[in-house]
Amino acid sequence: MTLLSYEFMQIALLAAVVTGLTAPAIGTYIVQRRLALLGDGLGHVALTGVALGLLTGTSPLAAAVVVAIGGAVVIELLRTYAKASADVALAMLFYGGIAGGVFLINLSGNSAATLNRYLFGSITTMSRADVILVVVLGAAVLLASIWLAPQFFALSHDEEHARVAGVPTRVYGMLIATLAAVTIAVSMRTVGLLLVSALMVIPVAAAQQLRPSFRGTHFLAMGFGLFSAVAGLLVSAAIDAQPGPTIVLVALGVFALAAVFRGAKSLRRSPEVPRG
Amino acid sequence: MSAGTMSATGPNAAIITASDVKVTIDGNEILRGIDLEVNPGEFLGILGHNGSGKSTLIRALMGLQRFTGEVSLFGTPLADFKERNRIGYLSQDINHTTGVPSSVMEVVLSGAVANHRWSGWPSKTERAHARELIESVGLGEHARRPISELSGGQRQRAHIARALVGHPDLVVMDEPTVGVDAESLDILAHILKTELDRGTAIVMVTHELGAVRELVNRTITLEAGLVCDTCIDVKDLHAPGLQEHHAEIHGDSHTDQPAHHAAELDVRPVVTEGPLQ
Repeated sequence: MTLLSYEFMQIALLAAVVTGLTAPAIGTYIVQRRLALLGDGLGHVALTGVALGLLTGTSPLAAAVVVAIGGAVVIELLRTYAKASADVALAMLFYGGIAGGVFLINLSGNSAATLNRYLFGSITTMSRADVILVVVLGAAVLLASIWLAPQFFALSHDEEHARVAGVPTRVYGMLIATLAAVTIAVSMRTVGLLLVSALMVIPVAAAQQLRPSFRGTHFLAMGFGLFSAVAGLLVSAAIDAQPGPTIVLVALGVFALAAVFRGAKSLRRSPEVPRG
Repeated sequence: MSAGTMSATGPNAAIITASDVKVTIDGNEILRGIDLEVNPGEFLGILGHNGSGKSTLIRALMGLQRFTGEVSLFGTPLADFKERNRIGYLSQDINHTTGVPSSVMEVVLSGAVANHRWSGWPSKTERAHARELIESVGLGEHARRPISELSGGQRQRAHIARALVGHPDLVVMDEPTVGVDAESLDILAHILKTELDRGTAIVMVTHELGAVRELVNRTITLEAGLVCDTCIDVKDLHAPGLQEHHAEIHGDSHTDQPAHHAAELDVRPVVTEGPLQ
């Protein structure tokens, strides 16, 4: 494919690989902790970071990483210490994030087209410096999500048990939220801030149709994420569509296939009735 | 350390020492001053109605609930206690039917995380031990199945195996028998017997002792956040004719409490001392 000989396309492809692997790698823990919408919220908050970057003439990516991490810390603190009122407080944080982001982008003199690129992804806007940051941060997320898998699993599966076992649940809860924030920021050029959370959830939902274990789901989800991101990017480049929606539609297609496959499989072995 | 509050065995030998434990949640006094001691090899049953504070008490002992008063585990104040691998904990109402599937093996093995609190993967020995435990709770053929596909009793057995995988010296269980079938109850009793023979101390919160009645050394009954020293204890439960009386006092109905219980609620009672059997 001649498209691949362009440097912007190589950069976009590299970013898609990182996004496809990291979003489900951390997303599996997020889904297990029943925080599937956390990514959405962090995406909204990260937009304010992008706007601050554009306004101050610094890197929107670096600013988004910093602001999203700040948002993750606030969200975890609210969840831990203000359980009863956390719901509304979180909602306000998310609305504030997106309102502040759009407001500041307008203020910085950037157009709706610029905003659109950050919300739904774009394959042409990433610099070499950006992609280096994406690869480094993505590798860190990937490494942590695999290296700390036993602790993250214990925490995500049964937080109270993990606390009694002496796992530093507050620190690791915060770390998971922080890694999610980093993932969202590094994925925004590929899938965009409004859809990045889909790539943390849909590949996991697809993989759990086919795997009976957490570990199996974790790795298969990364495989599905990688396929969706790369295939979606290539299709979007070929038909000149925005990459974010294309990637998410591919991921949904993978999910539909997995669900059909599972349905067919359970029909075939229907005599074995699950107990309980 | 609150020395000298409890039994003749002395505080150094105790696995759990608690003194004047009080918990207030949203202005409600859930625990109003509990003294407690658990010694090595002892099986303590904590009885009481719904809302009597028994779950709150063991959550406080495990560091899951803020409290005032003093708690020591293995002679170390709770705040400084680090040997988490010495505790096997089974919480109430573990329901993991949603979320990402987790196999029975993964769940049981997660009990070994107390040996790898900050990082690290389970060792070969730990894996082998987890497999043995899964066999011994009768789930051998289900080891690779998602735990969400098991029955309530089977799930509970898996969680008991998880509590035991780190070779604990203390096992703490919150209502492990609720909604559990007869086969699972027998397996639970057998497993706990093996643990007691190893010298493990067991603390179990329950509505009714049921299948483990014969194993229990001592019970305390909580009532309105205090230890009730006039409530029927386990020794009396073994005596014929008294079981009906117990059912009357400890049944789910709160309406027909004997009057003397209410009268004595403000008196600060003490823990029933020593083994009863």
